[in-house]
Amino acid sequence: MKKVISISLLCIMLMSVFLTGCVPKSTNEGSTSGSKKITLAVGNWPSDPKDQNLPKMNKFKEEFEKKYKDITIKADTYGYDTNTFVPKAESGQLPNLFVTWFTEPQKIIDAGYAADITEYMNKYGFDKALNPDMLKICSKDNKIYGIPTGGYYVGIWINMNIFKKAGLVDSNGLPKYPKTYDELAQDAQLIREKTGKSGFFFPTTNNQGGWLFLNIAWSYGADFEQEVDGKWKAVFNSPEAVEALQYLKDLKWKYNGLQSNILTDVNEMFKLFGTDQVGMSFGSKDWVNGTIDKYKISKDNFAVCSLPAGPKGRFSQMGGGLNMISKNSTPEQIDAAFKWLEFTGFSPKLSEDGLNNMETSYKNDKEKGHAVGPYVLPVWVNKERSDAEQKVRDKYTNVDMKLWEDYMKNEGVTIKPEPSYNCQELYKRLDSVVQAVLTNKNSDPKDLLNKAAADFQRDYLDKINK
Amino acid sequence: MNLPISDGGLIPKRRKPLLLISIRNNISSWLLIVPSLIFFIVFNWQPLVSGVVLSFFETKGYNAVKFIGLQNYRDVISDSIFRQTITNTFIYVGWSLIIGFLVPIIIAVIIDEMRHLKSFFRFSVYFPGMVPAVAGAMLWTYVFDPGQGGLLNMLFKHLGLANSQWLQNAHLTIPLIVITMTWRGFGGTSLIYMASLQGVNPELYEAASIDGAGIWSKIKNITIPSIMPVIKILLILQIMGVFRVMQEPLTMTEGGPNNASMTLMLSSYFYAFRYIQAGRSMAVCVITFIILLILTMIYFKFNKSNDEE
Repeated sequence: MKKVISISLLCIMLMSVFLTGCVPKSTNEGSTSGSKKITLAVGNWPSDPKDQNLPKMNKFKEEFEKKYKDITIKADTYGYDTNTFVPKAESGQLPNLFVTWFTEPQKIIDAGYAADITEYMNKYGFDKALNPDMLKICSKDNKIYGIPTGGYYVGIWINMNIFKKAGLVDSNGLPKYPKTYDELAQDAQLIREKTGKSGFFFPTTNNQGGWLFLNIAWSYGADFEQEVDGKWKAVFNSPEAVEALQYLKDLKWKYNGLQSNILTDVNEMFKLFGTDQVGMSFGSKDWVNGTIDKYKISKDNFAVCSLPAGPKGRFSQMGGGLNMISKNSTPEQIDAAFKWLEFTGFSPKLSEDGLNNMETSYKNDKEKGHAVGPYVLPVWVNKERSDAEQKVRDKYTNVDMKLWEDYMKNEGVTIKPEPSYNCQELYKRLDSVVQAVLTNKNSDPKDLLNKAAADFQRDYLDKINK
Repeated sequence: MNLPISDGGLIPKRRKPLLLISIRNNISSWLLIVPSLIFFIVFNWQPLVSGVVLSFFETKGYNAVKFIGLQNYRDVISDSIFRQTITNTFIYVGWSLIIGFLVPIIIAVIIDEMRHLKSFFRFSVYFPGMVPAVAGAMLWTYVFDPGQGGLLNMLFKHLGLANSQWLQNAHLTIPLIVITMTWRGFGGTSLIYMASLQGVNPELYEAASIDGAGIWSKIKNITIPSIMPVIKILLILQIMGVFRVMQEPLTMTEGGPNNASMTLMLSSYFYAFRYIQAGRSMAVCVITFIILLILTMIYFKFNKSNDEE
């Protein structure tokens, strides 16, 4: 009998250890009934102890907890990544406040991983003060699920070191920007001849090839999805789209203007650009500081211009970042998240704390060697708010604004939204098409686009039309 | 008065106590398997069954929302790149059998015959197997870099040859990925063959030597037949393993160029993580499972009839 009891105890112990390991950690800890203490897990917290942002964030946390004694900030280093997001979300491990970018919110909303924050957007006055076009990206069925934090349109990054070596600067030391896509191809060729480096970078994986191809195709007069007699049609096999794809093919094979490794995404571009291996690339303001941090490239090595013109004009796509709140957050945690944003300086009306903390952020950026000054697509429509931020930004501006002027003015460029349906799937199809023309000299752009458009119509648009 | 009395009703009454007695007599054994049973249920059977169930539902995240029958299967199979994906997966298996099947057998026989440094080579062949799949694939990406800085292209340049596109050449992509898989995986398989070779009776070799048999004759008539059961089981394991290839194409080519290296599991991964369509992802997994089940059944059927002959 003793034997049975001891074995039973052993089993119970094993099972309890085993089952304890299976219980998912919840970010709701501390918010259970009976306790007033709220824990708010904030994502994108600096993970590197040497990160110069860490003392700033720790200071924010300390002061915030002093001000709001019932809220504890839990530093969470999780940064959005398509490979890890779903497991994190499914296991309830997402931080309450997490950051993502404009191409993602619709699928996150559809999957039910983000909380409806309409009530709080209204309560804190965010819904009236934020850019409505950006809010639309974060909304579904008149409910708001995300807080846009920054927007940009695509421009062209110019590597000044390479442009100088290639003789592509004027007497004032300013880069000679390509005004048309033809000029861009010629400049890319010249860079290759003069420096041996790649003239232009074009990604083709992770749906980014399709996403960026849209900018070129629009400039050639192409469209992607059109509603004809109440039915949606894939129209990216038009002669204009074929011409745009032919341009990309020529950039590779005729001008020898592209990077050698084609099957890569923008992370490879950050590396090549950050180590002076490529002269130009599609890029945005938002990507600059990450590249500076990772590859130690100088902020003064960046010049950015607006997108060149194609035969039918100049078009650019909008991108940006947003905050979302995980679905399992309690109302108290959602409210705490808005308080946190407000405290760190992100709110329609700047409090004294907010203003001070915003200033701390810009000061910190300047000290880190980040590019401070350039700014596009304000998220706040409230002029008073935008002006207050601009005043702080001006105080810490550390780049030659002439190198950014063309991009910031963006004259003559139409900013276009994404196509209406199945964007990610469309980009994936276009990724394949772009890969085909950039890896196979004998590929036929017309055949490839005909097949891709027919497949996309059958696989997706026909299902919407039913 | 309402109690049903029948002969059939008496049988379970007799069996139940027997079962209970059996459990009671072996209570310690039964209790000992409980943790393992829970482990299997939670980590093996539950996900397996949940996956199959999910493939018949419309999903929101990983939650089943509405029963839609075979719709996920129809969507997945009618997708325009599905046919290419399934063909590619079989091509991976084909190349892996050409490139990777004989290598571990040859290596195992060579190492088994060695008199010196046997342990060193045993460790050396297994060493690549210790490199995580993604890290190994990234390492090979540098080797196959299509630029002038690529390791193989630098070698080509020294030899006066033109640069190659390597992974960007749609005809080379799959064989090159299979080479990297073989590099990482052959060590573990070789160790199993080596262990199997230890069990071959040395007297057979001695007898063969006395009869004047050469090395090839010994391998053909003694070594291979002796390790044939292991060869057969490793063949089916290799087919199953390669059929589920995902990490290497994901890291090295993302299924490109133009879907030339796309596989069933990579497609399932994209559905699950890029597009958050769990139902379709599970449908691809179930299709893969069914194909592997059929292949395994065919294999065992042939194997059985060969053994009977």
